[in-house]
Amino acid sequence: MITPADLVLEELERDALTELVNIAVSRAAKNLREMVGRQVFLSVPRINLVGRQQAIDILDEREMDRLVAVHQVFEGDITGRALLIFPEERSLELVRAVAGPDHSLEDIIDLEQEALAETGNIILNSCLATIANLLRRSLRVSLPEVIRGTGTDFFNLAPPPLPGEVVLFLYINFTVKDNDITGYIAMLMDMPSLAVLKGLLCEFIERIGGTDK
Amino acid sequence: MLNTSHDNSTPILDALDCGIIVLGYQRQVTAWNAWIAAASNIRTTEATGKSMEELFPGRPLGPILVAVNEALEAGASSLLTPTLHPALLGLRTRAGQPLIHSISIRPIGAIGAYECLIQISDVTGAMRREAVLRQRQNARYDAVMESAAEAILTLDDTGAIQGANSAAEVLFEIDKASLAGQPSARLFVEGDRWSQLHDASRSGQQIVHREVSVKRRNGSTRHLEASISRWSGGAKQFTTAFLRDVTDRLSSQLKLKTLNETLEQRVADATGERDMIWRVSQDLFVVTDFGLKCQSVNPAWTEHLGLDESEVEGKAFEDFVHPEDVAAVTRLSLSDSRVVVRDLDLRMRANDGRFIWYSWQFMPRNNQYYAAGRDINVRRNLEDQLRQSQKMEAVGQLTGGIAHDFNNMLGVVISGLNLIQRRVDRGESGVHQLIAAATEGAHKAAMLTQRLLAFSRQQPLSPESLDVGRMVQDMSELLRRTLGEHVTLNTVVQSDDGAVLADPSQLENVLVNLAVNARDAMPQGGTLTIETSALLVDQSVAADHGISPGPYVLIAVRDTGSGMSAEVLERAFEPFFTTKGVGKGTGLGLSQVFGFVKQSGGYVNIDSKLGVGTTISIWLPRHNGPADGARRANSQDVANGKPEELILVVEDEASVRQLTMQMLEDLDYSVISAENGVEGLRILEDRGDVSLLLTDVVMPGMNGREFADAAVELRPDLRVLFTSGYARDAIVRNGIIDPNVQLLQKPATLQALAQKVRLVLDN
Repeated sequence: MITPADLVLEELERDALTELVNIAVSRAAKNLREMVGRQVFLSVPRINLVGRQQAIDILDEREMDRLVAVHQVFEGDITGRALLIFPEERSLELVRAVAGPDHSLEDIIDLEQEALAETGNIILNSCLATIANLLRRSLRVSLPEVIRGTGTDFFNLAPPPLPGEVVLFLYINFTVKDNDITGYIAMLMDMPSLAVLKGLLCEFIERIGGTDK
Repeated sequence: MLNTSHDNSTPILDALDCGIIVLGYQRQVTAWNAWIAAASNIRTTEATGKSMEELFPGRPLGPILVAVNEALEAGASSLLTPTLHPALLGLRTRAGQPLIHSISIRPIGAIGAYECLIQISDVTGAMRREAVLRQRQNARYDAVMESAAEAILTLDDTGAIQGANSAAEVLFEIDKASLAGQPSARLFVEGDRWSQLHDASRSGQQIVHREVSVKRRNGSTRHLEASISRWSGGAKQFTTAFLRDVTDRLSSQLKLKTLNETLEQRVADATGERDMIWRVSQDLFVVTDFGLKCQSVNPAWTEHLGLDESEVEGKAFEDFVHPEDVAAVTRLSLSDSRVVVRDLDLRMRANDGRFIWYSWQFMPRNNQYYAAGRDINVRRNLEDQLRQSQKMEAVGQLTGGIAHDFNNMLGVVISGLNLIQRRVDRGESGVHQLIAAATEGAHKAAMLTQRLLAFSRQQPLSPESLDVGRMVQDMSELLRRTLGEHVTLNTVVQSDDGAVLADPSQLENVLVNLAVNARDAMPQGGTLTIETSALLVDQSVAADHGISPGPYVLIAVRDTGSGMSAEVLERAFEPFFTTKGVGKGTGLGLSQVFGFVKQSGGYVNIDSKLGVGTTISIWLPRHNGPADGARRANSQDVANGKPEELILVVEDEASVRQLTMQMLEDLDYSVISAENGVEGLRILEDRGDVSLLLTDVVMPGMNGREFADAAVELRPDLRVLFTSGYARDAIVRNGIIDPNVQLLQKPATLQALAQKVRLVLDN
């Protein structure tokens, strides 16, 4: 039985993953910029690999209010769920940032669901596609879905989670139209998927290290 | 139209009510169903094998191409919505209308060998419906929002502005687009306070009319009243703040407040002024209740009357008023009509017993009198002097008249005496008639001086306790003779009417005077009624009449004569006013009555009607002591003395001294004399046999009183009889002779002298 402790990413692996993710979000930023027609900055300063409950605790501790998430399922060598999570109260700013200033509040409220879905879609797609691309593996990713609730809700989506699931927890900063919005990207994977990821990361590091050496 | 690689599914794809495009790995169209062919007006045969850029030239395909790449390269699925990507492909409905569509882009096929499925859905109907609904709602909403005078802000949970109306644009001087998304707290001067209000509202508290303020670009501050309430839109909470500009209202309130404050100041100033006037005024100020109880007085009372506030406040105003002026004050306090009283002249009693004239103004207000008294002592003194000089003038005028009468009387006396002298020289007898005539003339002259003295109230009174009823009855015979046979006398006398304290001879005089007047008023005859009765005078009546309350004896003298006209009545008590012919009366009768009654502490009143008659009422204070026996009969008998009774006559006027000695010798007394007190004392030291000292009161040097005191000290058993024609001297107090002092009034008849000397020697 493989436990999360056994699967803790080596520092090098973590650095590699962080680099991968930052490449991914910069691609997402480029895509968003194309969509909204203005500068969007995205960065991922930190990555944690945590247990499911730990992820719930982190969210509960850091976020007092309700959360909104864009959810997509990915399948392939690595299987799991990807969630882009925001404090719900910041979501309108995000929507306004991407939808433009000409919308009334009522429009913004109406747009929120779709705009969040598209925005989250772009960010998550970019991340997943970039990771898959760089790891030279293919994934199939579902259409986005907006869900609201708490960390507990997000990490207990049906079908019921399997024991030993881990969460790759990414802290992500958006800067859109002078607004800094801090959110999270959570990639919920089962153990085998994490093992595959770790393997893929090692291959990636070897490739890069190989060229260095 | 069919794509070769999708032969079997082509009918199905064409039957779908959505657009289907499949792109191969090279991004070329491999499937293009009937729906998209219709909507894009590009037939399948034309589309197949072409790229999207070729099929939709000029369209903003960026997001689609990104999504296609993600799908083909990473197996990612994407969704493009018409809200964020309106008219991506420029499709048309069958009717030629713009076709609003959403696009989903997914990888199909095996992992690593993907094709890309682009599915296009028609959302035109749903979008239109929503748009109509929203438009309608927005129209109503905008009508409210935009017509509101208040600035309206809609905030999300972070306090960021999600909506603002035009009034907010004006208020904050920021356009709506720039307001959107801004943290609202930074718009307000007290940002923290605003955030607290917002938080309170979010937690469900109703925020109503809280004050906040906004700084304008021009530096001015606008004061706002904020009302904030929360609401939820879908899954989200919002708060909407209504901001009413109350700057103008506040500034009016401020102005009003300032006005009120300055009003207070002005009132305080005015009050201060009045307080100052109250304190510095030389006039006496007093506030009293309607019962004239002093409530507060100003310092002038202390300054001018020597009375401290504490001595006056709480006391009756009349306590500080001369007894003779109390009546007017009492009238005021008893009066029901609270009217302004002007120029009420009152003598105020100073702490040292002096009386000072003040002219008072009383102003009723709020159950109080506000009174001010002005010192008019100077004026009153001048008035007194004027009256005195008028009196002197009157006396001067009178002197002429009296001199005439007096000369006549003296003429009778002198010529009578001359004749007697001649006859006696010739050794003739028969002088009795002449003597009688001369004596009568002298009596008349004496009467005249008596009356003058009585008028000037300088007549010395020797009050005794008198039973008035009895006296009236005793006098009835005398009165009948005076009245004559045409006038009937009625006396109505109660036995228990009580005694009065009065000089009997004066009271007799009064009654005779009144009887004579009555007789003169009834030349055709009539009835004179003299009635006595008891009378109890209460406080208010006493005040009205200027006398003390208590029991009185009333003597009413009523005739059925011609009566008096109002003008005559008004002047009846005036001295020298007479309706009688020249020589018939002196005009002193009623004024003499008036003087006597006043001097006796009584009251006199005339009630008269022309053609009906006159009633004169005299009120004299009742005396509780026992009445002194009946008045001695006016005897013609002369009480003689004895030679062993030695009388010392002290008189500075030689002729009077001589005459007095002769009369006493005539009465068989032994007489010695002295010119003054000093000589008198020397004689008394030499001779121990002097029984009686008969001394004038007014003498140069040692006066009669001093001399008598010294004499009695030398000879305690010495009897003293004073003689005087003038009351204002040492033996008299307030016009009343001390009860222990015996006084013989000048000029005295032989009988009066004999009686008085006998009385003193025998007592």
